[in-house]
Amino acid sequence: MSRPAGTYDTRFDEDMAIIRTRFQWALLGCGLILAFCLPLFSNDYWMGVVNFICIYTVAALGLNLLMGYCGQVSLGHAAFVGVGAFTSAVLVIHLGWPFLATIPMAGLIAGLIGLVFGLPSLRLKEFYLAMATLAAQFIIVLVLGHAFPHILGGDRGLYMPRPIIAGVNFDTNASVYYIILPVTLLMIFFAKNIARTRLGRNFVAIRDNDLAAELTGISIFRYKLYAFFIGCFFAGVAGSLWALFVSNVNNLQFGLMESIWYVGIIIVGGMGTTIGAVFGTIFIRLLHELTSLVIGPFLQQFVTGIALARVVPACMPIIFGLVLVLFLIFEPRGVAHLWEMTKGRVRHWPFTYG
Amino acid sequence: MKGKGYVGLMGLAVVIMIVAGSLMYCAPTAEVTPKAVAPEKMVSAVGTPGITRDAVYLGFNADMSVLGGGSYNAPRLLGIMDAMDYMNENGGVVGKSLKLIWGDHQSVLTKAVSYYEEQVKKCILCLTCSSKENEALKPRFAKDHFVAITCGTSTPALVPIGYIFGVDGIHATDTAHFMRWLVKQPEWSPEKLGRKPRVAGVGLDHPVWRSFYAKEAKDYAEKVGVELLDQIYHPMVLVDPVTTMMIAQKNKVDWLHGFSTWYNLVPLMKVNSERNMGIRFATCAWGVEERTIRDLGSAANGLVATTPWGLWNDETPGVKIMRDVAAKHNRPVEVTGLAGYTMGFQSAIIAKTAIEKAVAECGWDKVRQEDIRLALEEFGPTDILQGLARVDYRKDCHWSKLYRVAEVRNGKWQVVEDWMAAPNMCPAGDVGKTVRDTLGYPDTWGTGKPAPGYRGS
Repeated sequence: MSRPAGTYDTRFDEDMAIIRTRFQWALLGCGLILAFCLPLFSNDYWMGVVNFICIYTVAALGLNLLMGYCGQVSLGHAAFVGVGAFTSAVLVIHLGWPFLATIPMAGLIAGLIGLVFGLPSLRLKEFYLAMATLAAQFIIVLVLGHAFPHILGGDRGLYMPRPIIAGVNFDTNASVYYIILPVTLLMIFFAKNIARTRLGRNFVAIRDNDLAAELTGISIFRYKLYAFFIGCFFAGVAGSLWALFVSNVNNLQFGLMESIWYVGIIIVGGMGTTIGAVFGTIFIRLLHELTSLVIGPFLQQFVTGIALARVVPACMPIIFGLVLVLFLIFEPRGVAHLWEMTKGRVRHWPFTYG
Repeated sequence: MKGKGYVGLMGLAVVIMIVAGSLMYCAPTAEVTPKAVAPEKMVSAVGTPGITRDAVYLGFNADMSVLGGGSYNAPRLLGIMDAMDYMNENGGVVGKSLKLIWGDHQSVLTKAVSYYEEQVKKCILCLTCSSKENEALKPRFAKDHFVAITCGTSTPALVPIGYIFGVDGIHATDTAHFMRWLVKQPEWSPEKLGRKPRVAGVGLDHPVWRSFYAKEAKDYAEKVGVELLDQIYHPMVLVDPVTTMMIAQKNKVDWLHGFSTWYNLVPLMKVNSERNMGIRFATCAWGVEERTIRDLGSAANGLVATTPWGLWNDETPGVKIMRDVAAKHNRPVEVTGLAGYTMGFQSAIIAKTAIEKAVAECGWDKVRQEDIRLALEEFGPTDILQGLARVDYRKDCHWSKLYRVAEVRNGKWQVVEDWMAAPNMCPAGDVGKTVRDTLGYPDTWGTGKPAPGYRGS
């Protein structure tokens, strides 16, 4: 990990610190102030986009711990987000829990269900594990849609009202942001620290060479289950925020395509880095908005007739996919690597080699 | 990443910018106002979005890319645009022209939410499709008092009543209306048959398809004497219609009924015809399509459908206008032959009628989005554009109730039963309930005040 030019660590706690210099503290402070003041400069549309970015970030952080750090492929992450969403909705609607209390519970329930589907990871690896998690995706979504319709709402799903906390009605995109943002920041902090602990290092050891890791005394099975629990806990928390923001949970919202997008997010962002999950989410969501708000309307100017209804909608996902493919060709290690490179160049400027 | 990679990335970005810039410079005038052009300044005295000095904006938020929704909503977009073109040539709406802001959400909820946030700020009302997105956005429509006129008429989208108005009945209505018609036919009455006619659903294992066979439809089947079997599931892209038909044959099904359009009906009916299986087919409003007849030929004869929409070959003034407008725009049968086009045309006219009613009450200066809901709820039995369609919206009914039954005879859709009220498929517990009554929302949701001067305000 590179340090700012001229900065030397003289104590162990300095070496371990995430924020090392006063300048970095100042940047963090400014960033937080900016983040909390964002609703002042932004309209409902962009606050909606930002809220989704935060929710996807939390879920992607979980998948990054599971897949990026521990190397356990999961194609069922959206289903665990769904478990969290339904948990929060059920607790609020049927048991009258305050919404904030349902957030950790949503994570816990999703984590426990993740443990069950993590059990095959002892015997399965790579594509075979991917298939097992794919099964989880379908099983969970079908259960959420069909089982206990009087509790889970069946095809209708559940409508969860926005909360009123201490007299404040969180019924706008801007107000709900003040619940979503702190939770997101907290989860980023947790994810960053999990990656730096013995737990995180053991995850990396298992990912890089599980046989060698076992020979050094790491209980492979236990740590893989930890990874599934933690990854799904993050997904559950994201699901809880999803229920809050969307106000409606339905099993159709957590389909396979969503799971694939979560994998795409951490690949584009940079697997095995906490900041990668954040960058990946921002990149993918803004690319979605770019195709919707800029490219689509832009293309509308050139085509008329039947092509308008057929070509423009078709072009948007094509361009979206094309940008992703080109990005991965030119930067397979993700946005996080570009970020590190850029930081390194700035720090070493004018000696930019390296 | 090596230096070469950066150069490539930068080069790509520069090329994209140059090409995009050149294209923008050479851009011809758009057929409709594109979203890229910022709407003109809003002029409403009460701050109602979507009203400018010369125009009023409608939104359209639907899936135009994915197979199911896309094949339906792409022609629907053209139907909406053609209807708007026709209306603008005939005086617009109370002196203003209609303009459209549309977005293809690709059945991605996050995109649907984004388009919603855009349209609620720029449009007086919106047109939508897709039950899933309607259901998820329902609380927002109620909170913002923003009306959606939709074809995604699943039960949760429409009841408890909020701000969504269906251009079709609650999905189970199509099934119930078909069964009501079926038992009235001499050859299919239980008395004549000596048993109940056996009807099976066919379609996807998906809430929308299942909602056609909801509890209310099953109860109604019991009441009128039809044996309604469960659904025979098949995937969206039907690669193996033989198996589906053999399951139906094995279960001695008389009729296959489904939320089926040409791309499902054609392979199923083809197998039925080639193998002389003798199973009859029925579909809902979405399946009343010329394309099915074109692709199937004589094998399409006998296909029955229930619909609240106009048939392409109706000889009413409204349908003639639609056909003339489509011809003027050179719309091919791939567009006009699909129910989506008719429905798009019709939904734009419904929107215009609602705006006209609301503006007549309180004027452009005072009209609010909320007033569009009130105007729609005052429709009652209304003929849309002289026979294009009929709706009967009321305060306690935001969906179509008036249906016809049509059948393909001699290669043409023909009306076999005229307009009549379809059975009410609103779940008993939801009758008359509103969003505010039942979903536990804060009191402020769904209680928008009408414009000053609006009748009853």
